[in-house]
Amino acid sequence: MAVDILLSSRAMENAVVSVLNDMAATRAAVIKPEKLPCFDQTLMHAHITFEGQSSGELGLLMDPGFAAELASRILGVDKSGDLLQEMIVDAVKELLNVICGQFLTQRFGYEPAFTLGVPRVFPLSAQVCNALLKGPSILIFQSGDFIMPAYVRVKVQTA
Amino acid sequence: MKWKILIVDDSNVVKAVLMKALGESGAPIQRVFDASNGREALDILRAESIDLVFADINMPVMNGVELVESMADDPALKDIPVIMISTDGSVSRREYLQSKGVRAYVRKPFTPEQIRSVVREVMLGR
Repeated sequence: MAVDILLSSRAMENAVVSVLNDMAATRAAVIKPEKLPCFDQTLMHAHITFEGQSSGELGLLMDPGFAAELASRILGVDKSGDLLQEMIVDAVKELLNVICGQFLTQRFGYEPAFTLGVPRVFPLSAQVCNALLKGPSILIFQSGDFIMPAYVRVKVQTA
Repeated sequence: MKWKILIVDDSNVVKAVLMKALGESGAPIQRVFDASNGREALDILRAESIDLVFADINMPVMNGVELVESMADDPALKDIPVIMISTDGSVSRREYLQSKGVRAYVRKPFTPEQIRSVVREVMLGR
């Protein structure tokens, strides 16, 4: 069980770092959980599920400013302020979609086929975010001044 | 001859990035159509003379696999080249799609160079 969690965490770390770099030309690295701040503002929560030989879920919690910056980089737009909120949300959804695909390949290889759910993005209050981040399987990423918590849960081995 | 291209993806961001990459590819493009799922794509394919389709796999309403299956079963659509663009890394799904006539498969995230290269390969055979 502990090995499974470790493998999933490593796959998630590799997926997030490589996809942020490849899609948004943004460097990120995992930091120690002790460095996780207590959030005092609403964050964007991106969530996706997958089903196949195993099922599970992935999520990202990000500052709206970081989401806008990533969206502007993905779209090749100079100023994130010019972007509609709808495009920012769409960019975060696509980012998570690609991270999930990369995670599944890293974790389970190229043989099994998975079905991904439709990514959802919604605001989450600081209070709920702080409570959620006390749970297991949390990874903390830092990119510049931004902190982006992420989680991965592989729920059921159905194979 | 200039090409009519159809992009099928539920993400407006992917459509925008792909349109930009196609614009920069040097491909002779007459017009780019877009659809958000397989069902919308079939409507466009039956109304327009499309030369090339880019399609995602994971989409609501009708996904990319169902779209490819429908095109393969339709004599009027089965010869239109399809390039899949997806996060899906499964070899078995890729092989299945190729058995249904898909010409190429690009894994997300893609680069503009990959798009240029795959369009040349599929449309010009080089």
